[in-house]
Amino acid sequence: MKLCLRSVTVQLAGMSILGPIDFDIAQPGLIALMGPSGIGKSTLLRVIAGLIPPSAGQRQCKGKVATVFQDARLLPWQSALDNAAFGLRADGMARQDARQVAAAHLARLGLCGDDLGKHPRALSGGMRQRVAVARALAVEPALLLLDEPFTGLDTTLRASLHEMLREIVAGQNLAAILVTHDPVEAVTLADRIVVLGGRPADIVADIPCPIRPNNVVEAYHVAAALMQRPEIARVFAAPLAYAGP
Amino acid sequence: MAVCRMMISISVPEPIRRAIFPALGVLLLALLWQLGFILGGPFVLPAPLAVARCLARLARTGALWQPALVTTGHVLAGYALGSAAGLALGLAGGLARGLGAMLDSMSRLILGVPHIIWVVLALFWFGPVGEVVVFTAAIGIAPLVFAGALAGMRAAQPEFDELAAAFNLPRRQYFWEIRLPQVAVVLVPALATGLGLAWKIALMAEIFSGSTGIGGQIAAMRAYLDTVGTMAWVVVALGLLLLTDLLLAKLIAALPLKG
Repeated sequence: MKLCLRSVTVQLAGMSILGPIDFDIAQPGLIALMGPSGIGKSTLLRVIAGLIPPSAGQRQCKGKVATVFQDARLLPWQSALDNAAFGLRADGMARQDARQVAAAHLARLGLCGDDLGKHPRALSGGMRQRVAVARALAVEPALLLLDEPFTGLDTTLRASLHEMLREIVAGQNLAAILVTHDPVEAVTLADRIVVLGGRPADIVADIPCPIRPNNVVEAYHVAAALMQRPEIARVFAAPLAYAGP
Repeated sequence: MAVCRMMISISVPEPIRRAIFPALGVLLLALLWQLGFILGGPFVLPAPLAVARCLARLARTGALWQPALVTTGHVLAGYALGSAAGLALGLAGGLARGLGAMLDSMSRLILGVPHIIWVVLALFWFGPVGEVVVFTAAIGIAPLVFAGALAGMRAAQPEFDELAAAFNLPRRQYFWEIRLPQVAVVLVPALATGLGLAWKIALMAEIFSGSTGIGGQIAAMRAYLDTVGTMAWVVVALGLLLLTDLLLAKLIAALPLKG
């Protein structure tokens, strides 16, 4: 996997949102992308996914990218199994084969039996997110993008999904970017933490995290230390400045 | 009381329980009909029993089937043509904004023309033949289905477009798996309403065009001032409408559009 953003800027409706940003991913591992609300984390993720073209600069990406959206974004008229097979079918795989592969991914994430035939409205929030993760993993991406996928889930469920994500990233030798507001989540999961700040937003901190906390208490201490770093504290303390057209 | 209610809920099968209140509605209407007969006399409203006897006679002699078949054929042909045209134009209009706006204004004008005017025009164009009925039914429901399809196309959720883009969904698959199911949410009520409308328009067109269908029979009964015969054919038309409506509902329920 190789991702390279060079002097990338994004303007939306005449407003400078991002950049210029330089950002690279050259090896597997989980990157936590943090920053205040509205700073442009999701916009950066969309640029990386190729969903928004940069207004200036270059984006180079080698390897397949798959996105898990914040709202799971399952098709309400399709079953959990067909939703999970969606990406495979987009790649041209026959329906039956796609279902078989998708079922295997869903089973790995703890969904099987009757749940596969259920439509999204009949699934819990955690199950919907698992289907969305299975849909993304089924296409065997080199880079997995997760846009606040655990927001709104209860603590126990988040913990189990964290565990699941960690296993997937390590087991499949994946690169992944997780957008999160939660510094504890970031220090618990990430191999690298990237913080966006300023207006237009730029990367204000890019911190490697080679060692993970051993328990929750330690995670809180590490997260507190992270948030007290001057460059990060400044970003979260400052109100968002309006950078009009 | 609670025990009694529980016993009823246990002993009565679900389909029958669901049919009880609709059946009561039909029974109430029959009672009001009987009341109308008692108050107004047979010339205003014939007795329900007399109409039932007339229906039985029509069925026994075989006189019922030919007109019923003719009208059902007219309705289904007009409904299929109108729905297909409305759906195709609505989808095309949803894909091309300019075309959609142009077809929308045309559709509104066509929708504004009373159905009776279409019958008169169709009689000029086709003469007193079955095509008059099929054409009038088709032109009557096409704008309705078009409006449903266009509204469905315009109501597409951008989140799903982004999902399609994220997975590089091919255009054909995008249309079938993302756009069409969203259209169906608005289209299905339009299709259901259109069927009822197709029956009404077809009967009216048959009455005016002297068709051999149910409308033609009603026109003949009116000429003889035969209120019993008129009501018998009205009941036949209503029965067929309910039957086709039920079949359409089953067909729609079988489509993979849950959620």
